[in-house]
This record gives sequence, C-alpha cells and structure tokens, in this order.
Amino acid sequence: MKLSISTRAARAAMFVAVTVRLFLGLAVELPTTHNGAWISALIGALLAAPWVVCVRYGRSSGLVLIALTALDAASVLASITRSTGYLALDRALPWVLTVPVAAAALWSVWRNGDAIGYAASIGARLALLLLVIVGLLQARAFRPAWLAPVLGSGWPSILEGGVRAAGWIAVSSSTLAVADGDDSPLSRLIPLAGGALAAALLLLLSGMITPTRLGGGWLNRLDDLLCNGRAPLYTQLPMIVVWFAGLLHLLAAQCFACAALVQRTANLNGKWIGAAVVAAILMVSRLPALNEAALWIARWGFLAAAIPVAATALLGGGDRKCASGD
Amino acid sequence: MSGNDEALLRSELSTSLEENVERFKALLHADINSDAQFRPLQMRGRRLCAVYIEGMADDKKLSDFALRACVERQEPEYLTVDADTLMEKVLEIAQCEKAEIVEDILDKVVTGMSAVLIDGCGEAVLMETRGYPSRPVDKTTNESVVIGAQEGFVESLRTNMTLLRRYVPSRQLITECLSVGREVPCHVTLAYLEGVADADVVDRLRRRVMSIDASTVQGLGAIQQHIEDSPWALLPQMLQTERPDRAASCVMEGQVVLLADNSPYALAAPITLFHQLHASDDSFARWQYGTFLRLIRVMGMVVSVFLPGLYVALTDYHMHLLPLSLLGSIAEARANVPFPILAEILIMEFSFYLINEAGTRLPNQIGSALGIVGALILGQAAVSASIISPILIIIVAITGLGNYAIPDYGFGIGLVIGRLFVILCGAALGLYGVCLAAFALLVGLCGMRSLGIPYLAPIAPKRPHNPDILLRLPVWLQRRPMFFASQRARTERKAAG
Repeated sequence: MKLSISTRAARAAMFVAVTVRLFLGLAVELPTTHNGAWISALIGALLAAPWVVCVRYGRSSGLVLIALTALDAASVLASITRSTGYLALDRALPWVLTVPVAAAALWSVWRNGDAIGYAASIGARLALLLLVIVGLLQARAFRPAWLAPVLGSGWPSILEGGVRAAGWIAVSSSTLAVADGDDSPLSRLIPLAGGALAAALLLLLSGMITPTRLGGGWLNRLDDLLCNGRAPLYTQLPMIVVWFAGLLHLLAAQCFACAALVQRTANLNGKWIGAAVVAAILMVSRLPALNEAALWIARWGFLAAAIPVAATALLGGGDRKCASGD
Repeated sequence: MSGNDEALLRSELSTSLEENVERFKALLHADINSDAQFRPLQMRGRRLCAVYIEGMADDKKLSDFALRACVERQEPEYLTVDADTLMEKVLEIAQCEKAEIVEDILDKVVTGMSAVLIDGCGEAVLMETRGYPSRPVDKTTNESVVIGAQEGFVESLRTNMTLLRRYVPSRQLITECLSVGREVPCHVTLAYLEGVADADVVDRLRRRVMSIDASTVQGLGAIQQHIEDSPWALLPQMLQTERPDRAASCVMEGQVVLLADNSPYALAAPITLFHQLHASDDSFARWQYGTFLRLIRVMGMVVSVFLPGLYVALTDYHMHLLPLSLLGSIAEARANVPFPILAEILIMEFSFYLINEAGTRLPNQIGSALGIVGALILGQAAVSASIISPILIIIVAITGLGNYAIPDYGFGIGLVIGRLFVILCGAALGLYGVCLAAFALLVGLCGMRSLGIPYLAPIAPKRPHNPDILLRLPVWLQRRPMFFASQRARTERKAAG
C-alpha cells in the first residue's frame, strides 16, 4: 500500500490542522500571549509562509519532519486523552482512553491521505455549522470588552507566541511535503492564510466567551473555554463535539504525514508503516518526558524545521531542488 | 463434467444427423431429462431434427412458424435443404442464426432457443423461440412513489431491456450483453449512453464483470458483491432500483446500468452517497418539494445513526449536558427499569428489527397482526413491566422512522450496523466515543469509491456538478451533466446551456 495524498486533500487537511493546532497551542497549552493570541497566530503564519511554500520531501528535511511531527502528534494524542478527563472519564485507565484514538488514527492512515483530507474538509464545514449554533445559543454571553487590552501581555510575549505558532504551523503542514503532484505557491498559501485567520477568529471568539486565565491547569482552561458559567450547560455539547473532532482531524493528518514521510524514506508497505508509526506515537504519548518535548517543539520547532530547508535553499539553486532538503 | 463431455462440447457439428442427435442427447442427458425434446421431421425427403427444451421454448411459435413451414415447403425451389435455405426461405421466425459449435448451440437451447439440425449439413439453425412463463410488468413493490411512473422491472432480462429502451429511445443507448459464471452462465447487460457515459468507467465496469471467476452467479446481488470497489464497506457502492424510469435517469446522467436475467431490478454505477438519498418522486415533484424531501432524508439518516448513541452517551456519562427538566423526566422514567441503558437500548433495537424482519417475511394477510403484537406487547407491556422506559421507545421509534426514510434497502441496513457501532462506542466512552465513532465513519466514507469515483463527491472532493445532488434546484438550472459523465458530454451540454 502506498501512502499518498492529492494536493487538494493535503490543502484541506492542512487548513484544519493549522486552525486546530494554533487554537490548541495558543488558547489552552500556552496562554501567555493573553489577549494578543490572535496576533501571534497571524505573525506565526507570516513567519511560516516561506517554509510552507518551499517544503517538499527530501531525505534530510524528511527526517527532521518525521521527528517533529511524531512528537507533536504524541502531544496532540496526550491532549485528547487529557480532555477526556473533562468528559466524566477521568477515572478510566489512560490506555482505555488512548488506544481507541490511536485505533481511529490508524484506521484513517489505512484509508489513505485523500480520505483524511476530504474528511477534514467536511469536518470544517460541520464545525462551522456547529459554531454558528454555539454563537446563536451563547450570543448574550459574549463580552467584547474582554478583548481589551488588545496587546494582552505585550509585544515580547506576542512575538514569542508568533515564533511558537510558526513551529506548530510547520509541523501541521507536513502533509504538503508528501502531497502528490506540484502546486503553485499561492495555492499553498491559501490554506495557511485560511487556517491562521480561522484560528485568529476562534481565539477572538473564545476571548469574548471567557477571559484568558494565565494560571490554573490545562483542564481548568479547557473547562473555562467550554463552560463559561453564563450560558446553559447544554450549549457545551456542540463545543465539545467541535473540540474532539478538530483534535482527531489534526491527529489523523499528523499521523498520516509522519507515516508517509517514513515510507518515502524506508520504502516499506504503508500498512505496516502506519501501524508502526501510530504505535510509536502512542508509546511516546505516555512518556512523562513528553511535556518537555512539547515545550521544546513549541519553542524551537520552527527553527528545527526551517534550518534544513533554508540551508539547502542557500547552498543549492532553485526553489524546488533546494526545498527538498537534499 | 467429464473430459469426454468437454471434448464433445467444443467439437463442431458433423454432417451425420444421427451422430449430432446422439451428441445432444448425451449432453442434455435426454434419458433422464424429460423436458429435452428431439422432434424429427422431413423436408423434401431430407431429415431434420428440432432440438428444444419443453417449457423454455414456445411450443406454438415453434410448431406454427418453424415445424409446419418445414413440412409444408415441398416446391422445387426448396430442393437444396441447408441452413441458408432454411433461414432465408423457409423459417418464418424473425430471429435466426447459424451455428456449428456444439457448445454454442447448447448454450442457446438451454435458454429457450430451438435448434434445427440438418442431415448432411454441418451447421444448425438457431431460432428465437424463447417463451417461458414470466411475470408481467407490474407496479413496483419496494420503491413506491406518490407521483410518477408506477411500473417496475421484472425477472426477464429481455423485458427489462425493452422497458429501459422505452424510457431512453436514443440511438446512443448501447446494451452490451455479457455472460458470467463458469458452469451456470448468467446473462448480464451493460446499458449506457455512448458519448455521455465516461468510456473509462464503462471499460472498468466491463472488465470487472468479465473478470468474475465463479462457477455460478445468482443474479445482480452476487454480481454487485464481486465488482464493488470496497467489498468490506458497510454501505453499498452501487444503486439498486426496480424502477425503469430511475434506471433511465441514471443512464441519461452518464451512469452505467447493469441488468441481469432473473433479477427484477437494475444496478447503477458510479454513484455517490447522495444518490442513495434520492427517490423517483424528487424528479417528478416541483424543485422546492424535492429539496425539502431530500433534506428530510438527510436528517433521517443522521438521526438514525447518531440519536441512540447520543442518548446512551448523554444519559450514562454527561447528565449535566441535558436540560434539567429533560433530565428529570428521563430519571423518573428510568427509575424502575432494572437494566443499564445499554442493555435497554440493545433489547429495544433487537426487538424492533425482529418485528421488522418478521414483518418482511410474513404474508400480507397476517402482517397487520404483527403490528398489533409489536405495538401492544413490546410497547405497552414492556413499559408496564418496567423493562423499558417510555422515553427509550420514543428514541427507537424516531430512529426507526429515520431509517425508513432512506429509499435504498441495503443502504438502510448499512446505517443500522453503523448505528450499533455508535451505540457501543457511546456506551463505552460517552460523547468521546460518539465523536470517535463519527470520525471513523466519516473517514471510512471519504475513503470509499464507486467505480473509482469518490463516494462523497461532489462535496468532498469538490467537483462542478448539476445542482441535483444534495439540494434540487429548479430544472432550468440543471443543464450540466453529472461530474462522472464523459468530458465531451459535459462540454457539449455546458455550451448548449
């Protein structure tokens, strides 16, 4: 089985992955940017734009991307498992929560890249519909005044958030590196811009629903996000569906990209590679050291992903050749 | 089959009538088969023998237009009695052909044609005398419509082809006959509009049908399972219809329709998920009604798959997400029920489909009695005995109604299996499990194809299409053919529009 994805499906998968990853990162994982999170998302997109235009599979860039994508996928898998604690499943064994997600990710890798991309495009439309329902249900609960001060914690933290956002974008758009065929720079930038804008809008919306809480645990922030205390509890239902569906699409895209990159490097059967990659991500997601790794990716991920591409861009000539990282 | 029989089958006819008759008697097991008939006759002193299967061939047609014609032609111009003379001057039957290989003749004779063997001639004349009893064209039984044509396909392939031709009276309509099955052949017809259907799609379907390697193939149901893109998928990737008007509409949109002997329905491919939600009424009704009905079916499908799973997840794990008054009613209704929600819903689902299946098998006369049993015993009595909560009966009833809104029977069963999967996931992991199940089902659907066409097209991937897929826009806007039609047809119709 060859793991492949058309450029159209890769763009759809990337759009959803970028949106969800930026939102997860800036709203829940590292909320230090405060009200300026949406500006960080847009700065991240600007920083990552050249990378997104240039990235293609090459041996050196491929290895870096495999490592970064696998680590980030493990971190997303851990986030999904952690979110389930919010859903009255906090007493379940971690493996009971993690293995079904890994199985769903493996199933999607086996259905191949187009299935993941097309599912993402449908998922995005359904999420939009659900968000409109949420907006209507919670219209009275929005507090635009909470978006001030616009710069939140100030420019240094916004810029730092921008660099981190660029790292997340780099790992979330790795499906582009394995897409079949070639597409124009503009068609690569459209899902990036769309994803960053969607994430910025979501960050603004969430900022109006609940004031950003810098302290507190991960679950407290998720709880704030899903349940603001001013709207009826049942309005959480669509938000929870959007939250989990988004994370699942992100995880599937990352697992697929990782497996496809491995296949281009090792040239083995896609089914075995998919199983091995998902199993590895599952194991890593249970490691205690994952948090540090996730922090490292957030801080240095963009540089780590950009260096092989940039180095070959400087040494070799021509976009396509250099971007392969060979 | 013995090696001797194989050799006999592949041999050519000899010029000796006795030898030929003996061969056919051996191959048709005439000593045991009482319906294999060998009728000797003479024409100007030349001996002939008509071979046919009683019941499959029309006796009257055979005696009036073939046997009598042979016996009565004694004029000098019929001096030479050979296959050509018989065909051109004697036999009064519209369709005749010559054959000389024993197997070819035998294959036709067992389908109801008659062969005339001629002494001193190495060729036989095959006559179209098929006249076995068959059901007349009647109202459809499973795809009934409020408005629109009422007739349905029958078991006879020829009648079905005629019905299709009546709805598509075009010289571009091609009906290509194929045969599948090594030991018992099943005759299949591929029908498509030349220049409108994509040649690659037609070729793909033809190759798949021809590559079926089975000793017997019992009708279109078996053929469908042999040629579908994803045989493990829950949902069918070909459309079954018993309505000639719907099959004709498929042909005109650029799809390929398969008909087979003894199958009172047609298969159409390629299709998408949205085709499974279409009904013939949609085309006859005004566009507003068609669109509304389609949206109702989509909602029925979603409710049918997700409602029971969501109910289990919410009531078992996330009571806080339910409005307080509803939670109160549910708690009150379930207070005396001894089973967990999962067991309760599985019992109810099982009972529902037990009644459904029994109702399908029962004769019409006692079908109404089953409704009473279902409604009274399983509904009223189960609630009174506190086995089932009343709210669950509402859930299962709405789910069942949603399922019945789906026009395609196989598609509906696929949805039921999907629903059970969602229920189990919801029971195991709550809303998280329902999300996982929905994601897995969505990815599964996105990975499916029908004759190479993505199952969720033209939504994902997006394709330019006729506005008659999910919603039905006014007919004057429906000029563009479907995205799976040939490029030529798309260009021509677009230019004409």
